[in-house]
Amino acid sequence: MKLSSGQLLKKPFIIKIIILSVVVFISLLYFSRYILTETGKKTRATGESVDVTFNPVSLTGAATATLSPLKIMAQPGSNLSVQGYEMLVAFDKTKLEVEAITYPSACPLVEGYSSTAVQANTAGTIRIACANISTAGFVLSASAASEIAQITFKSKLEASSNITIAANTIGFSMITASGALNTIGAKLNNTVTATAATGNSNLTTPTPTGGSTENISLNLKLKFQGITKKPNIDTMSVKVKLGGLFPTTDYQTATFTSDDKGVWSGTVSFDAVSGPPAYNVYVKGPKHLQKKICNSVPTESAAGAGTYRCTNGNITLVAGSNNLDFSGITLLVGDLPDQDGATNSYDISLVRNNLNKTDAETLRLADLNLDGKVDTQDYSLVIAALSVRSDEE
Amino acid sequence: MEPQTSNNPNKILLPAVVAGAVILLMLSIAFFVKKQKLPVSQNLPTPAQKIQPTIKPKEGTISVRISKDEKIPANVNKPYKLIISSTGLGYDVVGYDVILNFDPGQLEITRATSLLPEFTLFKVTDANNLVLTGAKKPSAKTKTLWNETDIISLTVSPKKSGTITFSILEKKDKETTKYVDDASAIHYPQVNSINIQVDQ
Repeated sequence: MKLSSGQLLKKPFIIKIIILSVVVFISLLYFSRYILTETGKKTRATGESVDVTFNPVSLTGAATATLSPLKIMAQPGSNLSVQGYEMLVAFDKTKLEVEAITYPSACPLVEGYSSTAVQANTAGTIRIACANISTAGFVLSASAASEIAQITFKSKLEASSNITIAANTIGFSMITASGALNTIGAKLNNTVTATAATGNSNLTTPTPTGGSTENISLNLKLKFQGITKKPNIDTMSVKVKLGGLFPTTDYQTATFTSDDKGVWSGTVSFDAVSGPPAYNVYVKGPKHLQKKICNSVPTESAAGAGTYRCTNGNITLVAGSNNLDFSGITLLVGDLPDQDGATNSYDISLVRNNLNKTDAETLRLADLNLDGKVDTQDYSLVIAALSVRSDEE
Repeated sequence: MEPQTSNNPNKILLPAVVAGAVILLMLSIAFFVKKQKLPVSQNLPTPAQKIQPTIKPKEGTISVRISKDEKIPANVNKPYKLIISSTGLGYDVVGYDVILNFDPGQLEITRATSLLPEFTLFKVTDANNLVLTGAKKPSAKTKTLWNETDIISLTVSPKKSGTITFSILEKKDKETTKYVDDASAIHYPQVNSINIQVDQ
């Protein structure tokens, strides 16, 4: 079949038109998809914004004082089912330090990810992050602002500084109607000014009148609950630290040895300030609650073993050797290895689960009176410790 | 001879269409590429994605609820019973701690008793919290396996009308809500919070 000259001209033209149509169609497809996606994002964000605010907006207190807790509040435009959130709170670590970070029970912190106080104070930022692992999550109410975290700061010196959150670090993981997770941002409404107005101008470099940094050695005598004679195992490792007018020192650990009457002796050394300031001494045995001692020779009645309490340090230390006889009071058992600063169900269970055992490892953990076996006496001692419950601070 | 201008519309239209198509194609490709290669910050995992892998799974539950014997709402100064129940994932439980949090200005706990006869219940209070410690008696020989088991009965007395929040906290200072098994292993359960409606 022969084609006319017009048909010959039109054939490539039609092919070009077909190709162009396909290209234009595909282009329009991508373009419309992009437009729809972007438009959809904007629409969704408009309806699902979260207002984040600090409450209160100013914190004031004396220098070196704990300030009022700072709450971070969140209020969405409509009720939101949330599975977690995170944000970075920035503060001036030269002027403030974080004492505590708490989360609502509905959204606990994420271990290993949320900042601890120590991490926050090192970095000058706090990663607030929490997660509720239930499929339903928890509801952030639109009717009132909900507390999503609380931070307690302590001022370090007389100064003023700001606490802020970078808005682009805030993210809430919202559970959609289909059960999928959708991350939405938030709007930060304010910042906080923290002002330390009065008091010491600098906590970090105390220089007391007449004092100087020296090596201070403490020769201590201690008495532990339940031990009235020289036990079979007559050495134990005891932690000691100094407190009082100055920041508490780090623990120093020393080996203490028992005499025939069950009085334990040992020596610990510190690089600390000697002179007029009065100290208190914190002592914590390997299975014991921490005791705060404010007197060089403290006493208590024999009937009230473990009842000694004190508030202000009254121990004067000098450079070199200091003899402190604390054997007039009883250091209570109750915080068993691994120690967590309190007597609780773990400590009781550790004794209960090992009743009548005599192997060395069990004795190391749960033989409280060091009589060579874990028995009901040890169980009674740990139950009694519940009335004291936690380390003295 | 036909004038040359008779073919001009085709000659102009065709390149124009081609150019338009190419521009559209380039635009769409650009948008597509932009969508695929977001800035680094936007490519970061969402908070949930980052958070979820690091979560330690909770082992069982310790939760509070209003006793089925009670009517809603409660009444001011009238005893009202709450029940704490637990699931322990098959562990033989020998001890537990539960931190209860409430506003003492709104409510007081008048009585807390163990619903498990083999356990002794100890109470410690501080400002807004009551810590209950349950210790299995040394003489108890049977296993204690929690499976939605009621472990504690609380009698509370509301002091004010309105909504009172009553929570079990996971952690407060040195205290944690937990249970301990017969191998002295500690387990941290999921906890909850309830609202109690109170009328005059």
